[in-house]
Amino acid sequence: MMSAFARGLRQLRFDFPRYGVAAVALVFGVALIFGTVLTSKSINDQLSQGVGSLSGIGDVAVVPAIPGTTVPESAGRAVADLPGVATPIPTLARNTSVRPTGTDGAGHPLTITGYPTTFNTELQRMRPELRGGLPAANKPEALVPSDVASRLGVDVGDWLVVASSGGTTQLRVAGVFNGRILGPLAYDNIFVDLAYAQTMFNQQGQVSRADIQLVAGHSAERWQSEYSSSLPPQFKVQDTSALSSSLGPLIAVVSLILMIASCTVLGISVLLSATAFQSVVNARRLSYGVMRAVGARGSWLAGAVLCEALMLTFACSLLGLGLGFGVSWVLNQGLSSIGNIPPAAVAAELWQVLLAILSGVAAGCAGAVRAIIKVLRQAPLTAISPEAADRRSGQRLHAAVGVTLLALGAASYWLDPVIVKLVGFVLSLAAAGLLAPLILEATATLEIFKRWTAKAAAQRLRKHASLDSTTAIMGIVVCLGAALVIGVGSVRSAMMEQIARQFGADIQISSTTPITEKLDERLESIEMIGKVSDTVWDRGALQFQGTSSNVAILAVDPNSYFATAQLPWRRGSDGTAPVALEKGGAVIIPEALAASHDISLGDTIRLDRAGKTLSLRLVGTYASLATGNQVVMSRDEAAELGISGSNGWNVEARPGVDVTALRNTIADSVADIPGVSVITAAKMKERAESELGSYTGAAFGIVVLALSLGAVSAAGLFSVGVARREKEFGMLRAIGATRGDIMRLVTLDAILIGIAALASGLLVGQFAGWVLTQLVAGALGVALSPPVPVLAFGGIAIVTLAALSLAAIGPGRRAARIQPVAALKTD
Amino acid sequence: MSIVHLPAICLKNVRRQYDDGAGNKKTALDIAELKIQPGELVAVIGPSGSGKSTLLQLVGGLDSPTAGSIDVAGLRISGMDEKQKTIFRRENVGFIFQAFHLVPSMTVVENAALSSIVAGQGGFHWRADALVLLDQLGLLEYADRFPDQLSGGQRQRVAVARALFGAPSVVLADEPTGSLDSGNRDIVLRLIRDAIGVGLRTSGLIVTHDPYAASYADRIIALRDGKIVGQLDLTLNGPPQEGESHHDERVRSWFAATSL
Repeated sequence: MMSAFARGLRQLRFDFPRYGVAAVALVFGVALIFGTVLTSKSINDQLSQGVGSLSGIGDVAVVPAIPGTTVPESAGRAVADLPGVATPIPTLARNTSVRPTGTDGAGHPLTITGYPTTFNTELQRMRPELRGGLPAANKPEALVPSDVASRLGVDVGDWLVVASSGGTTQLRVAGVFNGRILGPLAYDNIFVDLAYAQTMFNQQGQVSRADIQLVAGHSAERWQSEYSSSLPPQFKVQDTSALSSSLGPLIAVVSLILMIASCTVLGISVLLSATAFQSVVNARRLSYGVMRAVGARGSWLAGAVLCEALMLTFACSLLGLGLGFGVSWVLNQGLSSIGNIPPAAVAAELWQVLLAILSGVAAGCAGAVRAIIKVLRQAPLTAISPEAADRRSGQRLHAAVGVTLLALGAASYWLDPVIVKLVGFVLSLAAAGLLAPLILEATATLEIFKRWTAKAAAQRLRKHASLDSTTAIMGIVVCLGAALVIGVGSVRSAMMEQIARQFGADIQISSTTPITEKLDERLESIEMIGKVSDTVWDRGALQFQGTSSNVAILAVDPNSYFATAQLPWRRGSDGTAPVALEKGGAVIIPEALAASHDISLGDTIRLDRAGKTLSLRLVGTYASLATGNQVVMSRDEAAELGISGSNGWNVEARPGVDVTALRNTIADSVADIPGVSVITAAKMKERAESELGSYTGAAFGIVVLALSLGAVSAAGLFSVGVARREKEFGMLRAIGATRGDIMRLVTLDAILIGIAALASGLLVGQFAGWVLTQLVAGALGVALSPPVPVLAFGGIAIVTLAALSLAAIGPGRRAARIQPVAALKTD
Repeated sequence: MSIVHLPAICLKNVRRQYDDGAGNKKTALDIAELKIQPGELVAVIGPSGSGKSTLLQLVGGLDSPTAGSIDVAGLRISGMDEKQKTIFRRENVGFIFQAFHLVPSMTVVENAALSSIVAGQGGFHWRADALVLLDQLGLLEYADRFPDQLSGGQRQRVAVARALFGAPSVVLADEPTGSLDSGNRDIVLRLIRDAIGVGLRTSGLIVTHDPYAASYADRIIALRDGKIVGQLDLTLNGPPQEGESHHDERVRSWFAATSL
């Protein structure tokens, strides 16, 4: 007897075209899942490897306990006293802007890393493909990676202008080398003598990292486990999470969205597979009936269908794996450019391959289950028994399950763990899929249809479930689209509120590095300026009742700052918080930070930086989206934490002054300092709106993509429906229905499905949007309030109906071309 | 003064040719003259490929002749365009198909009145008329059921009701009993037989392989290679009686004689 596998293969070869749409969806679903896990793993691996890669010089790296800050060099020396340490190599890294001499503009954002030039010999031993020489001690000389040199357009002997605390510093390019030998941590770095770097950035005696060379016989892992707790308190062993702290949230958000998209596509694949297998099994009904009549068991037939499903889904999963590498490459390029790291090498691991294949096979086989059950129950005498109609059943159960899922999804809004919210979001999507066909049935029951075609289409949809899977798919897609629009809308409104208030000064000046030169004096000489308030930005740690968070510190002069800017208050107000800050001992923090630590107004928090501590009272909270975890305090108190200089200036023009002209005047006066940008409030708002526009565009892109996928699947299912109804259409044409009538019958199906999908998707999408907003807020560490985007919903409605109508055009035209004689044909 | 009835169906020099795919013309039907009188039921018999279905399609306005003229119910349909033929079919022709072709999402009464529904005639007239017809066919109790709740015989009776609804000028039946058992075959044939000729308003053309079904007709036409090769007039013995097919034996003999 031919094995089930051989029979399944033969069936698959014969009926493969019928699986086309489902197969495409499966391939994409697997590709998205595989690409996502591959990328997040490879980037995380790259960051892990980065810890040791700069320790091509050393074996273990230690960094300040508070990321982004510095520690005294003396602490670095203390590390040398620990057992097993041969030599610690201290470095100081500072982000700044660099441009070749003789050029204008803001320059290139790069990192200057100071290292002890006593290690030059060791560096040369690493075969750095060096041209020129290495920086000399305390000389303005730089060692530049070849890719950076090429970008800057400089070579050995050329000079660079670098933004520094004193305004600018000129560095001679002493040598050009292959930066890759130092790994990702050296990416976009220029290397100078440590002491010279400390002078450039007014960080005398400070370091931001130390690479430790261990004595022979000590492994890095063992040393870490034995001595990391003995490090000076300002230091900790560098780990992946610390290194990736800036990229982590981005990877988390992108992975989250991609995983949701993957699950949605796989969910759609399940429905499409279900439809495809149902259609195939229906078409084979007579053959199966004959085989049962001649003695075949139901399980014998079903086994072949199961094998067919396994082979189809396995083949699709393999194709998805191939496409997944492409997805991963695209994601890698995008994330690496945002995270300022080189693209990671993509290498798949067995578990990733198995996960992707199993996801695809499981989704496809889940879709095939109903068809397999149908084959198991196949009656032997199908050939002469009347064909069972694809009638609706179990609506009450569907409604109950749908409403329950919706309730569970909505309930997750009030529950805390992220995973619960994620599950709630997925349940909401499922609820939209379940409720859409029920709404379709209810819509079709309404006595609002006048033409016979509309009545006939409504009546068919009311009685038959053949288009329920299409309706469910579109319901899910609309729900996902609505939720995404709400999520993006909430980010947009919060960000615009903050930009309007906090960045409302006529002109903002910013510098990549804090500068000690009194820029104010230059500005005060410009008559058009009314007020100036300078600020400085640094990093520290917030402590409250045993909990700790790394924060950005914005130090302001309360006297002048609040005359040029305000905060989007959540607690406190323009009247109270600035006054409290001016009195001293006060701090303002983001609302999300206050909520996560359960800090109330009047509570005392601790700010730590560079081994110094300040206790401050909370006097206000604000919605921080554009600025993340940024606390606001007075400059005088920030100085006690070692924060000095200025890297931001808010400028108010005198009344009647042309702000653009003033901006140009200021830009001319600071043109000699690279990394200083001057921007008007209007331009900043425009830039922010443009940036937000691209996020909104990306969200709409995903919505349109999902709708297109839904429309393509709908077109496939409409085509299957037209093929199944060929004789019905032929008969209608024979008794006098026009081609237009037939076309309308098909397109009305699409429109009714669209209406039901919109009703279900937009309603459930509102709840799902709330949950998604909280997920995004949690990932970004901010508080967001979901909007009700009526216009965007209108856009989704138009796009949905247009996509479905387009999807129905092809099958509708094919149906209209069916000749009346089709009714005379016999099978 | 005697009343002269124009033929309900009249074909003159009708030829239908197809391209066989190799650039050759194949003649599917070639009829010099065929007339069917009002109230007459004609059965068309012949082997596969003899042109039976082509004849049905041409008379029903589903296809156009390559040459010649076709008049049905006083209308020259051979020159009609697609739109005119659609209206012609809607107003003058009732079809009965071998595979019933009921609309599964419509009730029995709606299927019966489908031609009116398709014509966009609103209100309840069609329902009342259809119920009357269903009552005559013994289907009144099934009026609001759906086709998948009926047996094969009941379904074909609904298909007959659909064909007869609105008293069309001609009823065209393509193997109407091909999917039925013998009990239902008699019922359906009797219904068709009784409906044809009422007040001379409706004529019928049945395409069949079955001598028994053909024996219900007034006249049998035999086709071979697209040409009429024989005719048998059954009216000489009078119409068949209720529950009987008196011409059955005669028809079988004629079938045998004409090698069909």
